[in-house]
Amino acid sequence: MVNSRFLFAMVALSTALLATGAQAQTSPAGGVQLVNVAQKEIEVDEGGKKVRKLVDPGKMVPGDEVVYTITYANKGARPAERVVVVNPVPQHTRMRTSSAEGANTEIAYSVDGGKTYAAPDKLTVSTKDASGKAATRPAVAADFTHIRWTLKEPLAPGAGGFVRFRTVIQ
Amino acid sequence: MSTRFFAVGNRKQSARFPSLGRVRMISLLQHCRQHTVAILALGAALASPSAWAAGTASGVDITNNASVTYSVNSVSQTTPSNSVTFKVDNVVRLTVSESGSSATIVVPNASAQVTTFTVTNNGNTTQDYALAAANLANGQTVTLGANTYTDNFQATSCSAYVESGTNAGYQAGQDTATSISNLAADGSTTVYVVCNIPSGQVNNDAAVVSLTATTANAASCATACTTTTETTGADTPGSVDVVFGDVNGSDDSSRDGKHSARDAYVVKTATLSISKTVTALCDPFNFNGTGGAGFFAPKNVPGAYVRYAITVANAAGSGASATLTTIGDVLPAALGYDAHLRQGSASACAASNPESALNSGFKLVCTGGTRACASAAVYYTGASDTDAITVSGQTVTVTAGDTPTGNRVLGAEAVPGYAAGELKPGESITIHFNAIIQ
Repeated sequence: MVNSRFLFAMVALSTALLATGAQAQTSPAGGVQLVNVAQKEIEVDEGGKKVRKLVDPGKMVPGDEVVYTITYANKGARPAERVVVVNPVPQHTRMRTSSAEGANTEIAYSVDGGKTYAAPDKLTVSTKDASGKAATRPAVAADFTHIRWTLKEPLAPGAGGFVRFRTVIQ
Repeated sequence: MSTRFFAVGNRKQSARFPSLGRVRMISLLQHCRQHTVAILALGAALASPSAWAAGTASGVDITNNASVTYSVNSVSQTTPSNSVTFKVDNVVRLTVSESGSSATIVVPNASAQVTTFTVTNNGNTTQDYALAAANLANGQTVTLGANTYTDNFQATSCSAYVESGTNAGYQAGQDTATSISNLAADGSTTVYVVCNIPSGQVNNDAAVVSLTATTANAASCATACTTTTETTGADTPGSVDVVFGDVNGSDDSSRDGKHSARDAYVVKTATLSISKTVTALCDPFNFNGTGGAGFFAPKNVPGAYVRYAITVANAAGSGASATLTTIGDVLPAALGYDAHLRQGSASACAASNPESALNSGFKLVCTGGTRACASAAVYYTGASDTDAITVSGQTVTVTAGDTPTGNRVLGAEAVPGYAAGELKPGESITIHFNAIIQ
């Protein structure tokens, strides 16, 4: 259950999101705080209309998709600048292609464990060509080890938002 | 006079000839057994990665942590998020597949005939599997490779046995387990369905069988398989729930923790017949009369020579070669054996010319096929020597092909391709010899 302290207006997280993520906890008071929620997306029938909803993950097995939503909020009294949210891709999962989202953020990825970040089209990984010689190839989502969201604007006191990405359990 | 006919294969046809007694075929081995179980090595090859190969094992915790870095008044700060964790549940996925994409060729009345399957654990948890072999009803079908078979007879006493790994192929003494124990995720094992084939089946009869594997809890089958049940209610956080993710097989539904596949037994048999004829050849008074001028037809009187011809034929259009072993014939005491296969002549029986040479008392004629004996008759002595035909007392024994080495009237011929004793569909052999009425 998400602590009600974090249900700000801004987090009217969209449309159909059921904000019932697992094991939400608060960070120490003050400053910018994060709430991290794992969910899965299901399709439900609402009055004859098919609607997609995010719900508690429930039973999860290899091949299932997990939707992670990181809600951020400035709980302090002063604007926060250069706000950067970083999320390592969880172990035993692979990031789903083009699944990272975040309003008013620049999204970059790392393929080296978080040492360096770049846009997806700038990332390469080492591989070997057919003859066994070292080579590089463009990175794909499954290569990403970390995701980084950089807010384009300072975060005013009381303001917040969310970023999201999807992974598939290996 | 009784003729013993030691051939190999079926007993379908035996014939009675009024003056000659009963002709019996005793044990027929069939040439066609080798198709049964040649397919075991495939088990390993099939264990190639599937869509869920190396799926995360059940019970593993997947944890996510984010962090935020920001500056307030140019002072950098970092705050971690809460941690979210869920446990990977047990997804039950399994595959039963027929190995080899071909039916098992059988002969009527054969016992312990084998069809081969592979059971693969496509889930993320070590499981046991209960196995059920079933003979399916008339009209059920299975497609194996390019052939579709429709069941029209019932294989009996079908059981499923797990390959022990000691020797490839079904070994009755080794492969005795009737359930699979502790098959790791992504592991596969070979399972045999073993059935008996009733007598009385004819060429191209088919029996369709199925193998169904039912997921059981790991290590339970050592005593009695405990079928794994799906967690029907809500997720149990912090513990491993069971989710059925299996697709439907030939004889089960999707998401039932089971999978199944079909195979078939197809009858291919030789259609053997044996016949024996006797012809009066020469008597001491009419000699080798032809009924022409000055001659009279020979009669069966003491001192007369008669010609026997024993023919063993595998009918054209039969489903398989037969492998002949030995042909035996016991002459009654009233008959003696002519060691020289004399032709008889217009003036003498005992002094007439041998058909081939002195002491060549037997003639082999092959009809159909491409064996050497089909192009020219072959002569044998009746002596107890190393050639393939002997006479001992009143007993004639023709070694057709049962011994792996030594002389046989039907030896192995690499070109044009005959096994020892093999009599292909449409071929026959005839043994000629003379007897002397005492």
